[in-house]
Amino acid sequence: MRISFFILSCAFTLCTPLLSTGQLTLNINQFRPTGELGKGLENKIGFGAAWVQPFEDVWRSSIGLSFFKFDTRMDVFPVVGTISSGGNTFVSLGEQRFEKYNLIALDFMADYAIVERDQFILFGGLGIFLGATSVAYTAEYPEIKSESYSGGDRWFGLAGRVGVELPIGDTFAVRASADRKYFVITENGYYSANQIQLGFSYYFN
Amino acid sequence: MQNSYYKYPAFFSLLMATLFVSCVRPLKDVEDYYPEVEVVSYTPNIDGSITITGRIVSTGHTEIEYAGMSITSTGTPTGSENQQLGNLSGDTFSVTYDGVEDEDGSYFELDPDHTYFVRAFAANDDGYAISETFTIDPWEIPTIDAPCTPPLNTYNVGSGNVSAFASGPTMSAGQYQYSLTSLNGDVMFTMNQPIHAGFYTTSTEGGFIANDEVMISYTNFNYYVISAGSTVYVNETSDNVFEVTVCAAPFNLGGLSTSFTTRFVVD
Repeated sequence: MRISFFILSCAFTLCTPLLSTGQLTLNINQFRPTGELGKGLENKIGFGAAWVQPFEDVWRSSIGLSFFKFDTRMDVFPVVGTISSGGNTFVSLGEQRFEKYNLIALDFMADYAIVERDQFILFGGLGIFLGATSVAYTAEYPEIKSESYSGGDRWFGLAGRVGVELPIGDTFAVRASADRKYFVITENGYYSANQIQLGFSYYFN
Repeated sequence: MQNSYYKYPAFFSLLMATLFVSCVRPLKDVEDYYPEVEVVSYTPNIDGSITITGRIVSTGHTEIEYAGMSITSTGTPTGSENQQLGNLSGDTFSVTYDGVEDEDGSYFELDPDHTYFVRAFAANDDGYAISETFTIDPWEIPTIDAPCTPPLNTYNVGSGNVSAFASGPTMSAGQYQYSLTSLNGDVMFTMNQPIHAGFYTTSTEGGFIANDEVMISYTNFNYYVISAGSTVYVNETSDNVFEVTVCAAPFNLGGLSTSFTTRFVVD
């Protein structure tokens, strides 16, 4: 029953956001790549917005949109290519440069109010994370090949978060949450990231 | 109001798993992902080649997959020129060069009067690192000290030094032969390859001579072969000029135990 509630809430949120009561939240996010992704990308601050339904009983749903323009951790990455011929291997010591690595991220979340008081809400949330990147790079492998790439990937996975919300009167609220995301980057494998989010909300009644 | 989250174990189990499972923080310094490597030393060899040793200072975040050297006679090596991969033994690896190709693809044997430039590289799963340029200044080819110094271009089979004329190589059945010719008999050195600087060991297996072996035969009406196991010393005294020394190598001369000594130069 709770799963169906989550799905229906997200669908309702998507379809009639401006006709329902809820919060419009403007967010400052810090996306913190971990693991393999963190090898190449710096932590990045991005901005976003979210539409958050009010808690009904103890549940609410939300949909959020964020944008990040990443910087790489190195201007030039040392990359290796190999070519084997007649039992001999040649190691090409190459270079890869990223011109662009941008991400648009979409979160569909279901939050549970763990502690709910008039002036304080502690919540935990689970949801789906979707992303689309725009990437451009060039790579040079001496004696083997040169390549340039412009395109993108799709990211999809799971997000979990813990956060606090502090209502300010009946109209405003501030929110902070810490997210953890696990996702697949198509044709590349499994990755993960953390995210810190600070939001300022306006209630629509 | 504190809500009864224990009513939703699946939700909170998955939330806890998502938040706390396997967060691998990236390394603080991105350079730590990559190896660190240096050229340690080089050793001139008696055959004119040089053996260069590199050391893995740090493997980086993952194990080393490749380690090697690149050498040039001019300019700074980029890692591609005359690349040779080495085998890691502990944290060191070595490669041996006996020549280099220039930019036009022409191959030249190493010139000990020339300066060469070397860089080592190492690659792991994340990428690679390349060392600073190591300069190999002109060097002296090491020589082998034979334990005897008989007169040049002579041989002795136990009855005194005999002057002889050295020549070679000639080819016979795919083998290289160097000769000492005199009125008292002829000596033949038979090898599997063209002569080179180094140590050889005498062999009596004419048809199965290894690369570091030589069969020495003496012909004076009869045919005799120097016994196996003696050392032959070969120095390259100048470009493609070799001095050969044998010190008292035993053999059987018609029932008489004697020894063979020689020193000669062949080019």
